[in-house]
Amino acid sequence: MRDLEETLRDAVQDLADDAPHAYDLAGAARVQGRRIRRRRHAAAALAVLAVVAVPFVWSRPEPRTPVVQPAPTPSVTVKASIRPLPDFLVRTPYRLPGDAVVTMVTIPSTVIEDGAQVSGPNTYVALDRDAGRYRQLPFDESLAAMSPDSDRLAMSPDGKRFAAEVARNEIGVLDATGRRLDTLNVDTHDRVGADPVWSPDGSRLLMPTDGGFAVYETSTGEVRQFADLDISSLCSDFCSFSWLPNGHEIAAPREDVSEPQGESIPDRIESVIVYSADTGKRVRSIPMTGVPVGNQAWSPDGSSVLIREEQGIRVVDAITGIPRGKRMAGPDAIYLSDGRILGYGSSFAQVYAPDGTLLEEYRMPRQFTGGMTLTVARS
Amino acid sequence: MRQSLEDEFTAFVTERGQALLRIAHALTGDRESAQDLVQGALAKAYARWPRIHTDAEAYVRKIIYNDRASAWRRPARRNEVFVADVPDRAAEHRHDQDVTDRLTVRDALLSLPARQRAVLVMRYLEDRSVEETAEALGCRPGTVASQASRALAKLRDMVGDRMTSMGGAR
Repeated sequence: MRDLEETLRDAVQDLADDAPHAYDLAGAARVQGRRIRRRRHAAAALAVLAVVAVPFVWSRPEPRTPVVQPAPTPSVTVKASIRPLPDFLVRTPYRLPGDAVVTMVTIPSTVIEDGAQVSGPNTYVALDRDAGRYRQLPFDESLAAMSPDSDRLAMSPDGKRFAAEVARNEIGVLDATGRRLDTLNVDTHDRVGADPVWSPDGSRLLMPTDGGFAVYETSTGEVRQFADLDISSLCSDFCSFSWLPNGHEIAAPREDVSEPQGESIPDRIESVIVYSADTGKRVRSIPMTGVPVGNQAWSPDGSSVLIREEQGIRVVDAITGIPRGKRMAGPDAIYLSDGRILGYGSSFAQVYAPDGTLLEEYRMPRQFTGGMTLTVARS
Repeated sequence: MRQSLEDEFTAFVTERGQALLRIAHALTGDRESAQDLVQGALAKAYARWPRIHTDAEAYVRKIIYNDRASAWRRPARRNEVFVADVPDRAAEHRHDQDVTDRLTVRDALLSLPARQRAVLVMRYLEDRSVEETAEALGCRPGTVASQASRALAKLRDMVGDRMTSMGGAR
């Protein structure tokens, strides 16, 4: 008499033995892998450069590979009174309309590899809030392993700590001098946008992982891992997590699995799931069709949130997900302290009323063009 | 990607491709799905090869297992194999009986939820420990143990009555 487990072992072996023979797996994977890389580049470019047709066409860089259908022009009125913003100077904080300030400028580079022009290491120029001026971060060597196609450096709100995946499954926490403060080993999540995010008070670092998410406590050095496979496996193509203003909850987007899937089709968002950063438990689900545009996309009172859809940025109710106003230009936006909204890219800044009505338009200095990414915060 | 890394990727696929296909086929029970699963995992590995090449096999296995579980969750992609034509009596001879039992279990295995199937494949094909299985699937060891236990209970329920050779199974 044989028992079930013995028969099961044989049955599994039989199944494995019936596998097809590997035929040019490497070649086929290469073709598909290059497509993924191109798509990542395009998605990253889309996220940081231009999601929609912003009015400043004279300096708008094009994504290298379009991955979405041409988007309808958002309801932004092109006005003649576009005011130029002053030039950027390293010796003083660069203030944007409202109470916003540029906290970091990420400058991309290209290198020639095997005869082809590919992305090289970034240069980071960050605001030293104590000194009231910008400094170039000495991270070239520390971040040498960073993949230029998807990674972004996460700066803590006080500008004193930085985090990035410096090697496979290794998050480095550094200070502004490049000193390694901590090394966090977690199974990082392999999606565009799944970068570490500092909590609003800078005391914790949220890291999307393959199995859910992890939270690093700066005070104790402890990393707590929370497992929920739905978080990673159902996350959308652009899998960007954010903290809610209360500093105790985090939000992760979830794709709409009922929609057709495919390499060439951007994932549709079905909802944003809110989890407790203290317990890892799911707190609630908010039906919405876009991904929150970072921590400062949540209004200070927590009642509404700015989400990035294919056609632009939109304000939605933070409880029901119901749209609250007109669509705005992107690619980035934050809530200002007075409840207005600042939308910005590397070539423009726009101030909107809480309902998405365009109030003011500004042109960024040409110093920021050329694929630079601005990190902006309320000052 | 540098030529040396390209060569390394090719060598990895040449050396490990068949083993990965075996796992994928045990998970899917379908040759085309297995091929797609492995090819998709290798493509993701290729896209990040400079970063993951030192630990490529673990990376690819994890993607295979998780992509399979993820695909199972998507209604549009669901590719379940349902129990069909389970033999209702064992053959008279010992060997025939064993073969019949294995086919019965194989069909029942393919009807399990993807995550339970993944746990059984890791444990019974790859001989992975509970801890290793948990690490690969991104869950706690307790979850692996409970999934394995549930999966075996389901198998017993599904096949027990029809397997004459498994006296000690229930």
